[in-house]
Amino acid sequence: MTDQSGTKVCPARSLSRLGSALVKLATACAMACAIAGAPGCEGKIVGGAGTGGNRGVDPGSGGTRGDAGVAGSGGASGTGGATGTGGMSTGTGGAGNSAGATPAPCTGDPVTVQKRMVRLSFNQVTTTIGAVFGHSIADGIMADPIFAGDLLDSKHRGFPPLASPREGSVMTDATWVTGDQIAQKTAQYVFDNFAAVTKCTSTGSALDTCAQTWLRTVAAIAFRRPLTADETTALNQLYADLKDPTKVGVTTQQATQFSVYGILESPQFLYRTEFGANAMAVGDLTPYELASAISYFLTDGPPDPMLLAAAANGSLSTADQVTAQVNRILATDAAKANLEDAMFGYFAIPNIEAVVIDTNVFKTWNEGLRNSLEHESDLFLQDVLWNGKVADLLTSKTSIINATLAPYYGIKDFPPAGAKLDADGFGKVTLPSNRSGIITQGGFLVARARPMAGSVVGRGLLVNAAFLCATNPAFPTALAATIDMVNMQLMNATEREKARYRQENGPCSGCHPSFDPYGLTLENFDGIGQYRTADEMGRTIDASVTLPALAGGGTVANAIEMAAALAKGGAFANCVAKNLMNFALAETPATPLASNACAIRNVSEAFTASSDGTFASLVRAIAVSSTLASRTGGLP
Amino acid sequence: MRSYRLARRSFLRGIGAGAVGLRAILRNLEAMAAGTPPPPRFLMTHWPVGTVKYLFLPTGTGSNLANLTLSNILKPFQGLTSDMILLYGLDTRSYHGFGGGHESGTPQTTTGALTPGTRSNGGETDDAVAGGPSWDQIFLKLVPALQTSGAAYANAICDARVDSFETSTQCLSYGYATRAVAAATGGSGGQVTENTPLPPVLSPLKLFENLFQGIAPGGATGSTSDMAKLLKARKSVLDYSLSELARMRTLAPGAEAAAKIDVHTAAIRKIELQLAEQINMGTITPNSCTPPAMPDPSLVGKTGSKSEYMNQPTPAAADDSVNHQKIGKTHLGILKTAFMCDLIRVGTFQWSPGTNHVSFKGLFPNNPNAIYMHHPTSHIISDSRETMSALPAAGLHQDVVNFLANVQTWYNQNMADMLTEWKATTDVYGGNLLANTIIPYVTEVGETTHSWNPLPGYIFGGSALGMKGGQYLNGAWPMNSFWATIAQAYFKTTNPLEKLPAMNPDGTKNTFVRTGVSPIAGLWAMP
Repeated sequence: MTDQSGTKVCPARSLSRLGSALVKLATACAMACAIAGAPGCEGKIVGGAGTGGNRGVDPGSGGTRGDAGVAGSGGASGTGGATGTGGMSTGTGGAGNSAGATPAPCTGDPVTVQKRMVRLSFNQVTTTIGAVFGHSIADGIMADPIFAGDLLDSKHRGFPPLASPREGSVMTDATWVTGDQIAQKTAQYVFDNFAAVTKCTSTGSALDTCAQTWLRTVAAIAFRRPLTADETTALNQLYADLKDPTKVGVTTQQATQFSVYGILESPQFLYRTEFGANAMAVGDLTPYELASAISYFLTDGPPDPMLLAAAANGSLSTADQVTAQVNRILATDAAKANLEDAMFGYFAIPNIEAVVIDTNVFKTWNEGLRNSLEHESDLFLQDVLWNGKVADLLTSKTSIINATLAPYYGIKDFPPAGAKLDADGFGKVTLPSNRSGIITQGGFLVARARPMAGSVVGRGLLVNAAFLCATNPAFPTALAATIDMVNMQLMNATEREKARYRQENGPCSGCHPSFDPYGLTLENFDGIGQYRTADEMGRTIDASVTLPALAGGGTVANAIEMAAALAKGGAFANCVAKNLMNFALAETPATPLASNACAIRNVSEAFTASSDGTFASLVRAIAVSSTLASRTGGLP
Repeated sequence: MRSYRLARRSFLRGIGAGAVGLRAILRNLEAMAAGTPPPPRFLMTHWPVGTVKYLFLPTGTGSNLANLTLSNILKPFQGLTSDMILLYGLDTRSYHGFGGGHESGTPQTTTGALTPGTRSNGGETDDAVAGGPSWDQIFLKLVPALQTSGAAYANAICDARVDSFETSTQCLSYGYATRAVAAATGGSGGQVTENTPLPPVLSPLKLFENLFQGIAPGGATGSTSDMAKLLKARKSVLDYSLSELARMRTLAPGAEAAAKIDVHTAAIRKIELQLAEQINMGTITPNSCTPPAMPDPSLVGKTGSKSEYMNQPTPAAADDSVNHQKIGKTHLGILKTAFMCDLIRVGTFQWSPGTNHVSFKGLFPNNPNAIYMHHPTSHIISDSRETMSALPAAGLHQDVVNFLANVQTWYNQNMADMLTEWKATTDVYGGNLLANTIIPYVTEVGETTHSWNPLPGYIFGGSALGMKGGQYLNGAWPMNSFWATIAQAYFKTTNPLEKLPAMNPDGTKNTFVRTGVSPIAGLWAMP
């Protein structure tokens, strides 16, 4: 059956046990798939070349190709939709690679983004204003209630920020008005604090000279590069017109104010250009453009004086030079905070603030636990990102908790002997053997929790997308009533039994095997992430699964082993690389970067080949990549 | 000839920190003196979560509201029936492509275009994107009489809390510009093309500043000539910005960047043009238009996302209704003045999203101290018969049905208060504001089970534009017939679809679904 876009949603398999309605539905799907000869769910799951069911699709049609290198047990012709044998996880359609084989080649040129101009997000505008005029005005803008909903702190912004609907990549009326109000408030600040901000205290023409000199300095910082001769002339002319009594005729202080307003309204401030030396030809960004790209990626703010100096004196040309600057910036608090908060948002930890938990079911849930879990995840990321390896995100056996979380995690003695607590009472602990990394962390599990229980399907989809960059299939709204019926029939079944049903019966079997296993391994964690060995009805939980091919296809006993398998396979590192690259590029390219794109694979493989496996190495690999530093020519 | 002189103190107090709309005011005073009729206006308004049919519909025979008995839900409009067209039976089902009940329902209602997919927003996958411009923007583009210099339109919302990070339920207005966004469903290759949302302003102070404020260093105590200088100064800045954009356009790498610059330029040019006209008019001494008082900065609705369906009915810690009412009145007051002063002629106003979390105290039957959230509590009713046909909804369900009816009555009372004010307001042309403004009042779902048919809808005002108030019709029409009914007044024809081409001369598209669309008979006649 197809959805509105004409993409097959789920193929049929064997006849259902539930009645004539399902039989008819399954038969219809089987017939459709047999006729088309296609395995179904193509276009929906970026499941990898060679993963079950996704090869065999004309790469130019339907969905994207899957990630390379993932084991697929290859679909023989005639399986899948035609005869209804084998679910997606057993690899219908298409010749997959065998597990562990050499990955398929990456696709496309790493220089894949075309020359463009990229809007600064509102937060970036504000941090740049802070860099130019001081933190007082920037903090004031962030705190101004009229910008509620437009300006969000770095933990709550979109990922990447321009993806937020209130931002966008184009300066619409609404975004212009917000930017205009930010500019006016900043200009007002300059007027109100003229002497302190400009350091101009002389009188008469000397005051004008001082103000204009200051404005040119400000403009260069705001534009993140020296002004061209034309730009200098235009800015000088603006000031002169403002002072000219035959044109405007305001005071020096007002002319300075309105010139600041003009600087903050100009496209050189509001956008990062990626034009290079020739906007219509493939080529590198200019040194100043690269400096801005790197700086906004790493710090969400403008290049600092050292980075600008490197751009100015030609010291941003080689990979080593760029690496040196990136290393320097990565050591700053601004970069660490920005990237930590980016990953905090990427893993959707702030969602925990909005989650509603039924305290009739989870009697220990309270706001203290909520806040503690969120803060734990924040501290964990800070620790792992800068003191551990990327793989530790999944496999770390330590965390940083407080007394509230100790019983939650089953830790009897807190603080552990010799542990040093911070001012908020948080200290590092060794986790119990049933916990590993962020995937079993309370903050992560609860951030998408439902009020009364966890969800195998929900958690499975989350792992599939967040850790493997697989595209989850759309919820088949046409099957909603059928799903309700199935759920009613199975209401007393265990989650494993329900998942087995979905694996073995169409149309569910078309999609669920690709993500249910992840959720099943997490069944040992209840709705608020507490460890358990039995479900709500006292039945022993068996968390063992065979992982989907994208995750290596092996058998794991529990979430710990699942996390280890994800960390070991290339898909997780590739997924983090892909998302960080999109974050670095700020504006999603017109053709989104696929996981198998060379732009991503080159970075993740460079990272894998690096000696330390740290997050900083991955960030560095992106920052020095040709994908970030070069562009294809603009299109007329 | 009316005197245009006004005491300097009241002028400056009224203008506040700036004088963005003064040119408009003075121009319109001149026009009024010359006998120019007042221009038409359009204000799209919305209430959330549909209605309770059997408690909503009027009773009696015929379509003349004067002869019908209004339900309790409709009683707030008792004094406005001559300015009211009440419809029941609107249908947006055929505009559904993807998305949830409220999430797709909202753009379905306001754009009449097929929703082509849902946005990947980190939450649920049902946040529909718009497949076409909304009707406020269609009218703004195609009806010259609705166009003003400057901002041209304003969108306001009183509370922006939603369920799962969705944009769709907290936005009525969508522009012609399209963009690709990451798709949760629909589209292709992980992206879907949407018509760009034009998000509403949450803060009344921001709405005020958008419409009424310019720049004034040192506060609003300068002389009139100082104010004129500041207008010129601001125009100089915008001219500088435009010339820098033009410079960048010559360097831009191709069509995509050029298009961005063009959209940016258009946004500035509207304001720059208005300033130019103001300055050219010379001395500024307006008369009958007093801008509203600057709102309290702390008066602002809430934002955030929370999926609160657990306890039913869904309790809340605090009553939002008092603040919600204040914010609504303030927004509507600012919009009223902006319309009256002819700063804008098009706008949208939304109380709260269909997926709202606004709480009300005292509206739950027999429990004056109970505070419950509107949308989450509505989810108790999962059988539409309980709201449609008076199937006995025993116990808690009946209480919830009555709660929903009470909330709708609350919204209607506040709308009635606003409409009564508009009816008593004379614009700067000397015309009646309500008579010259068409105010559709719509919702995104029929009732709690998220049906998209039948929907209720109202058309208030517009009598001077030909709208025939005082009528109630219960039938079956596609939603775009509702909009086509209104379009008659702006295009001054009983065949407005002729004025609504599939593609405009500038290449932008009117993508509303046209199947079965025609104006509803009897609701408009050439004035």
